[in-house]
Amino acid sequence: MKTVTGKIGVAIVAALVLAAIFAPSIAPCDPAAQDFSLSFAGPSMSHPFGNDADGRDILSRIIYGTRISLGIGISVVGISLVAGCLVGLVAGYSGGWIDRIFVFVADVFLSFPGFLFAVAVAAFLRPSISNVVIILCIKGWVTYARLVRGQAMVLKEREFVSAARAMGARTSRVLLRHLFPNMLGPVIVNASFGLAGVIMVESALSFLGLGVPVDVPSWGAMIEQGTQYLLLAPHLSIFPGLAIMLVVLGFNFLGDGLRDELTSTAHRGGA
Amino acid sequence: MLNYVLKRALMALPVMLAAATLVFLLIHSIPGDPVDLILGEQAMQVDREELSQELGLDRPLFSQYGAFLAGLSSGDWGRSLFDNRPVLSHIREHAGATIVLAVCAMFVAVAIAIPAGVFAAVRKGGFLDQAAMVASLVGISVPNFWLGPVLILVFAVELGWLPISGRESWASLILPAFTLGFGLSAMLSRLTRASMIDELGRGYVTTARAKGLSERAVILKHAFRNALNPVITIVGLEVGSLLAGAIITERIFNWPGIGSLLMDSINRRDYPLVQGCILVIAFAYVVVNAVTDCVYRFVDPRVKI
Repeated sequence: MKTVTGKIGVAIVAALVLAAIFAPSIAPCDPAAQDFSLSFAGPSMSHPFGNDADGRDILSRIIYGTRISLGIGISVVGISLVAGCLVGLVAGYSGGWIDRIFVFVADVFLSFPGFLFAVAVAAFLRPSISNVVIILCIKGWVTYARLVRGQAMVLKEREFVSAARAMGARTSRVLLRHLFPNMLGPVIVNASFGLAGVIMVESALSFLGLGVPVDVPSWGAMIEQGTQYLLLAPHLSIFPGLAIMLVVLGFNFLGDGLRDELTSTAHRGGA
Repeated sequence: MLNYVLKRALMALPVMLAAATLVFLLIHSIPGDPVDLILGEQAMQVDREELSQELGLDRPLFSQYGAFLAGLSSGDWGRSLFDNRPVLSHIREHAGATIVLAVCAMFVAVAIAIPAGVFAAVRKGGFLDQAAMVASLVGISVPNFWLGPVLILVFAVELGWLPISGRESWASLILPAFTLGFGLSAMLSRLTRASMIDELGRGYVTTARAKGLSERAVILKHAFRNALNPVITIVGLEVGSLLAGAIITERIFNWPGIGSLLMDSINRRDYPLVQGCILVIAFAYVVVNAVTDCVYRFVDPRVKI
C-alpha cells in the first residue's frame, strides 16, 4: 500500500477481522448478559460505551457485532463474486444469444435501486441471517458479472488466448486459467467497495427491522433500539453508528488504496 | 428530438413490465401461504377461503398474473387489507411528501457538491483539495440512519432550533432533507471534481486562457459547462436512489411519505399496499432515468442511444 488512506484502510480492516475472530477474549462482558440495575447507564470505567435498555454492555455487543457485519459481508461478497464471475466469463467469452440474454437480465436488475430491491424481498421473508445473505446475493452477483463480462470481451481477442486455444486448451481452462487471472485486479477492488456497501445495506435493513432477528447484536438493530430512547440515552445509538462508519470507511479506504496499487502494477507488469 | 423521446419511452416499458413481474413473483414465492401470514395460523377456514378468493389466490398462477398486469395498467392496484381503501389513493396521499423531500435533498446535495467539487479541482493536489476528498470519503461512509438521530440530538434537542419530527412547517423539512442529501453530496463532489479536472486539461481551456480571458471566466464559462454533463446523468440516476433512501429518512423523522407508508404496511402485512409502494418507487425510478437520458441528449446532442 503506497497511499496513506490505503494504509489506514488495511489497519482498520485488520483490526476488525481480529476483533471478530477473538471477540470472546476481547469483549469485557457477555453480550447477552442483562443487568437491569444498569439500564441506560452512561459510559463508565467498567462499561466504556455504557449499557442499553436491558443493561447489556454496549462495547461487548459492538465487538460481537463485527462477527455479524463481517460474516454477512464476506458471505455475500464471496457468493456474489463466484457466481458473478462465472456468469460474466461465460457471457463475455461466448457472446451471441447467451450474452444478449445476460445483458437483458442485468439491465432489469439494475433498473431497481439496490436498496429498494433489498427492502422489497425482505418485506416478504422472515428476518434471519441467512435470508439477509440470500437477499443481498440475488442482486449482488450482477455487478461482478458485468465487470467480468466487459473484461472477457476485451481479453478474448488477445494473442495469449488464441495461443492457449491453438495449443488445444479446453474452454473451461481458457476461462479459468488464462482469462480470469488477468482480471483479478478490478474484481478485488470491486469486492472491497462491495464489502462496504453490503455492510451498509445489512445495517440499514436491520435498522428497519427487516434484517437479522432482534436478539442478534447487529449494529443497525442496535441503532434502531437506541433511537427509541434517543432523548433519554443517546449513547445507545451513537456508538454502534460510529462502528458502522469505521468499517465502511475502512473498506472504502482499502478499495481506494487497492485501486492505486493494482492498476499501477498492471501497467508495469503488462497482461 | 421527439423521435428520441418516443424511443426512450418505449425502452422504459419492458423494464417496467419486468419490475412488475419481479414483484409479482416475489409475492408468490413467499415461503408458506400468504393467507396464513396475513391471518395467522389459527384463523377460521371460512375467513381463509374468503381472503384467498379476494386476493385471487385460488386461481391458476398464470391467470393471476394476467389479472395483476391488467389491474396495474387500468389503475386498479387493489385494495388495502387494513382499511379496504384503494391502494392508489393511499399512494396519492403520501406521494407529495416524498417528492418534496427528494427534491429538497437533491438541492442540498447539489448546493454542497458542485462548489466543493469545482473548488477542489481548481486547487488540485493542494491541502484543501485533499481535505475535501477525505471529507467526502468519510461522508460516503456515514449511514443516514445514524446521521438523522445525531442531527435531531444536536439541532432539535440541544439547540432547539428545529422540530424533532413530523411535517408541520417548512422548518421540519430541513433536517430530513439534509440527512437524505448528505451522502449524495459526498459522492457528487468527487464526481464533479474528477470531471472538472478532466475538462481543465483540454485544449480549449488553454485556448481560452491564451486569448486572455480571466481565470474566472475560463473556469465558470468554459470548463464548468462541459464538466456538468456527467454530473447531470448521475444526478438523474440518483433521484431514484433518493426515493429508496427516503424509506429510512422518513422513518427516522416520521415524515408522512411513501417510505413511511411502505414500512407501516410491511408491519401490518398489508401485502397489496406493500406491492403498490414498491412498484410506485420502482416506476418512478425508471421514469426519472428516461427523463434524464432525454435531458442529457438535449444538453449534449452527440449522445446516441
